[in-house]
Amino acid sequence: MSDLTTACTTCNTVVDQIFNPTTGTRQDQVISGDVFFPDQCFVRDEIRFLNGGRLIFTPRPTRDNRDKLEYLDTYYVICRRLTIIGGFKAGDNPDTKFLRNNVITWKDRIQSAKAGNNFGSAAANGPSFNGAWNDQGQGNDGKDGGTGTPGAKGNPGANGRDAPKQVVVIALEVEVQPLSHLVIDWDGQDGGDGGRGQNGGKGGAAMNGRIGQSDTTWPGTGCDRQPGNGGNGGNGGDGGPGGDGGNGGRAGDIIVISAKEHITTGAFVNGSVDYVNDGGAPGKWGGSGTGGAGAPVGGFAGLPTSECSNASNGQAGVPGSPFPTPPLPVDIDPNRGAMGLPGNPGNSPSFQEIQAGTCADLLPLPMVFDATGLVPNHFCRGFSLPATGDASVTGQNFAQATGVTASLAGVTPSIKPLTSTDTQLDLHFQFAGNSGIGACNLVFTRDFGANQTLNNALTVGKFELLSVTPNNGNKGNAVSVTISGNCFDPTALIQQVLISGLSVNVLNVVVVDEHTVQCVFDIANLAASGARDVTVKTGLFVHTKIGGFTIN
Amino acid sequence: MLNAALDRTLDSAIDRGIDFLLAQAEADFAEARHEMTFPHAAGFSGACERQSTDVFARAVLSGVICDILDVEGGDGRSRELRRVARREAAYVAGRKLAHCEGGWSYFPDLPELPPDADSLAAALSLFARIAPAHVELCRRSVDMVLEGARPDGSFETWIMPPDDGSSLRTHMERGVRYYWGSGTDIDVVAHFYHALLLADPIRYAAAIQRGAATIASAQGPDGAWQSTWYVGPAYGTSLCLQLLRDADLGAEAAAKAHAALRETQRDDGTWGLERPLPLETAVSMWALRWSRDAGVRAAVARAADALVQMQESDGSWELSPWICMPIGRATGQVRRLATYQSVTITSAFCLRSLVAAREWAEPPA
Repeated sequence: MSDLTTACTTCNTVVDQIFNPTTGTRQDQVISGDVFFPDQCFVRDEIRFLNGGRLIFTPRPTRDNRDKLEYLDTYYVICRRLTIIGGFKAGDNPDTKFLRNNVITWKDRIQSAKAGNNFGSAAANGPSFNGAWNDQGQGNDGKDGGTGTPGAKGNPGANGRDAPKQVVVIALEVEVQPLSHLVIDWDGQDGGDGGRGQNGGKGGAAMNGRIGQSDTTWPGTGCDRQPGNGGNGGNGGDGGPGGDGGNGGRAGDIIVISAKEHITTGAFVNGSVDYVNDGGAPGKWGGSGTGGAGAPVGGFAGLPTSECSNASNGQAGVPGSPFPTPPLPVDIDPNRGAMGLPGNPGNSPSFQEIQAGTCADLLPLPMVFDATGLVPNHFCRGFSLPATGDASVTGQNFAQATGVTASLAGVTPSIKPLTSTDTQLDLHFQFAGNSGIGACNLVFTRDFGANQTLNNALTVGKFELLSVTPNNGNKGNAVSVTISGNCFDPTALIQQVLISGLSVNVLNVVVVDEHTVQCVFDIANLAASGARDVTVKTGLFVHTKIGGFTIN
Repeated sequence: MLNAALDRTLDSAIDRGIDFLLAQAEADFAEARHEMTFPHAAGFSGACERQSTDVFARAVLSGVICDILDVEGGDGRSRELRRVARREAAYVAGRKLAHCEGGWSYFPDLPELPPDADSLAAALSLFARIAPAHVELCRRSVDMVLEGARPDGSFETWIMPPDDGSSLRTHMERGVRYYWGSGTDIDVVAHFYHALLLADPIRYAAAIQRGAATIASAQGPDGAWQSTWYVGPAYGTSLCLQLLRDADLGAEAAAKAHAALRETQRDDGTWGLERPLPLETAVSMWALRWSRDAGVRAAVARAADALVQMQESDGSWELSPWICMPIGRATGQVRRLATYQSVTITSAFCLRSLVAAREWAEPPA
């Protein structure tokens, strides 16, 4: 089963609602913002993407669980006419896939998978020291603060969701305004980025140096105990590595069905429409945690006294470093967050010619004939001679008509291209000398779609003498007769009735109407008895009834 | 109120500080004992060259405990602290010099060191607040100071006994002349008159007014008051501000002093000339609590946070220099500053300031 046939089957109900020639309610839609669509078949007469409209298919609740959302395998976009205005090529702008561009896509595609959670708190701080000096030497130095704990690895990002298996875009006609673009993005969801690594802990506070102690003897001369140096502040812990990025989702397939010219050289293949289905991008590894702050100050030097020399303050702690960020040789640390893997690509976009004999037949606009029908709608040929004629019909959507045929044999209509318009068709008819007569339908052929018929568009008659009444007369009398037949032309310049043989004059010929001629047969006494032939001639047509009148 | 997080850490720091202080009380504040050697070769005549004292430190410590009780009211662990303060008052009363008039000497066994008005002020302040029955012990010494005071209320720090020709008076006169020096010590004057204000503000009203006016006029151009016997500007300034506030005098000087304290606060919330010092920080905070300036609360909050950060794991604070003894002062040329510092003293002052910070929601009227 072809993709088009499948589309017709799947979207039968919707297509019928929209395109049924009798009950259909053709609807147009301008897409200039986000249109989230929860069903499978997006069917419109005309879809107009305007300066950044996004048609986004969304999942819908499952039958069994209304709270659970799921995607279907295939989504369809069906329209008679696709119009593209504005937009960018897929690669022209970082946002082209998602924002301010004309896009057909699916919901999870427009957002990456969930990123890994960041750590809420930093690693443990280094211990601070106080309470007891190093008990050695005269001036006891303060203890250094403890180094903060290195941060832990961040949480991994979620894998991207696989795209629905395929999207089928069916458009009978396509119009792309200059420099305009449409992106059909049926890529897998991008993987989530890894969570940020844990921040390193702060360095612990250092201990102040012990206070100096002067000689406690009056008046004193020296320094009993030199002041101690302040300890160094604790260094901050290094930041932890970021978490692994999630894998990108698998892309789906893109199928485009349109008229041949659009998929061979036209809009769908000349760069106006971009196709993205090379696999969801991998999530990046999470950012490294920041290094913990070093203790802001070292321990202070113990206070000197007037006899003791000055001690030194400790150094401030060194801030921790963030985990080295790529690019790095892989062997620097195997524990750093890894990039996710890209999703598998879909198949290359496929292009199929739209086929008649499917629901696509319903896509074109119907030709609408005005109630006046064909004007004129009655034509005559000779009894056995050919004839020609012209007629017109008014209505709508006639531009798609490519030809016309008639239901009667020997009747050959044609469209006069120079004078016909979308609202008026001028036709020329040729009637063979032996064409059928009676009511005749006209059948119009179109660019695409089923033929459209104008029933009983015209009637065809033939010039014919059927009877003479009375059909006999006595010699020496003038007999008024009525001649019956078809296609007599009351307006013709030539209006004649003839009777064969001698001694009968035809007087007072009047073509009353198409079917009646009245005249007088003036029969002389010398006229020979017997059957005579009667001939009627109007215009170019002539017909004779053999033995149509008898002289008694 | 300070912010809630700081409130919680304050509660914890205060609890640990009280634990430390009570533990030191159990040990009779042995850590706060001050020892110095006064050699016979240098002219001193003590029975022992090595002199030891704790009476002044314990009087001051107990006064700080009374401050804490004043702020806390009857809450928390006031019962334990009150018991310690009363016990210490009895101890201080018992250490009054028996062999001469004048009250209390910093090194009571050193003949060359006379009783002093600073020690008297510490004892009187303590008695007035927690043991009024002992106030009478101070009466004669107070009178001696006031009798010797100058018209502006200033006086000599040393309380010399009557010139009865005794050898004790001779030793003391020699000590003042050759070792300790003389003159007005602003820190002692402020301390003394504040003690009078606590003990009997009506009886000594005139003297207190004179003393407070003298203090106000002695303010330095930088807004601080220079101490003779204490390290750094904060402690002496705090004593002076305390007197001015309670005597309801010198509002302009007080405002200037508060502004000076604000300006000298370090970026980390502490005070200290060369490095953050817990004692300097605590005393500055205490003095600022009497200010009504906008922004003081924020300054105090930062200081309180810094004090919490500086607290040691045992609830104490690193010792800070407190008392200084300008050796050579008597000769007009100070050769060195002998300093004294104590973990217990430092911690008591820090604890007092944290308690005040916790009660900041209801600043004193």
